[in-house]
Amino acid sequence: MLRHLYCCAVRLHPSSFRRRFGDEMLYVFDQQKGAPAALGLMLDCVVSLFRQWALRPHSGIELSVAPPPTSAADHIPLFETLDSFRPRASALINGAVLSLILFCMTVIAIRYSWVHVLNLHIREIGTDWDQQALAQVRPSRSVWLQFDPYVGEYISKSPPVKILIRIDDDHLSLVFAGHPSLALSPLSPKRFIIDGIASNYVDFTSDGLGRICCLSLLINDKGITAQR
Amino acid sequence: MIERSDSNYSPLSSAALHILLALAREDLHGYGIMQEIARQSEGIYKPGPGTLYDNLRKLIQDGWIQELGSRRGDNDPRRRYYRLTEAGRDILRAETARLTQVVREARSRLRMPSPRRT
Repeated sequence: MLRHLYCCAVRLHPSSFRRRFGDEMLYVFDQQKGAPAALGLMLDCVVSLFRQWALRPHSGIELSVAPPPTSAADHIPLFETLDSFRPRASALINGAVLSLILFCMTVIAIRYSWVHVLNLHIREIGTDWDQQALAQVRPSRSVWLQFDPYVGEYISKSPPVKILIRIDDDHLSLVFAGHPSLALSPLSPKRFIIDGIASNYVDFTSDGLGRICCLSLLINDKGITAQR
Repeated sequence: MIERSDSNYSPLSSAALHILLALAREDLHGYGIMQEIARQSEGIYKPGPGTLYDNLRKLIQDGWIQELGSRRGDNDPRRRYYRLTEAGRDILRAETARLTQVVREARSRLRMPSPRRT
């Protein structure tokens, strides 16, 4: 039984080591008498197994002298590798299969992702604020959002005003009585700043189904809440 | 003789030293080397086959030991014999000189009497 285990452990060694010394290791094992000695050899074989795979990573590569470089004919450059290392075929197959699985998972994740994205480039904001305040409110340059859910009419009862959210070119705009169209820049999916001024912003609120149903507008220190 | 300035030369490991020493007198197979090492060290040092053959491979690669293969008429064809090369003998001499120096220095510092020659 122990000899069988020892054979298995010897077979697990790198092939070059096994071919060269495997039979001799078995011969040494056969010369031992008594279970304690056999157990000692078994332990030694396990340590050797670790040593050969972990500490002698190139033990499977037979060193060979590199062939002399051939002279370049007609000034055509020649390229050669000095070592003849080639990965095992099984390692190449495993790598190919894993790459294929990873590629398929990536494609599936992109195809069936529930977030449909739009790459939106936000224009640079130029203000007179101090840099610290600017750093806190500066929106990211690229924000991934879908604008459709925000578009629509929002009605406020007090004061009675109608607010229109629409898409102009590549950004959302806000229109309400007496004001020209104001560009909205997203800070987050729920908050948009108005015309690049951090103190003026719109907060959108969703209902239980995730639909935008309400907005809170704060502009020039005046707050307006409107329902869709 | 290997010079100390030789960049390839460094103190040998215990296993390598014992293997070279075991092969200094005669050609031996792996199991014979193990037995000889146990005899030299009076049973204190007994390298296992994994340690032995790992060191043998390195010593063969360094050209200090030569593999002879199996012998005709041997009891077991699995036994392969090894021989110390001249380069290996030089290394063993250099290492012995180094160890002698170490022992001399140690005796001097510990104020131990030198062993008498018999």
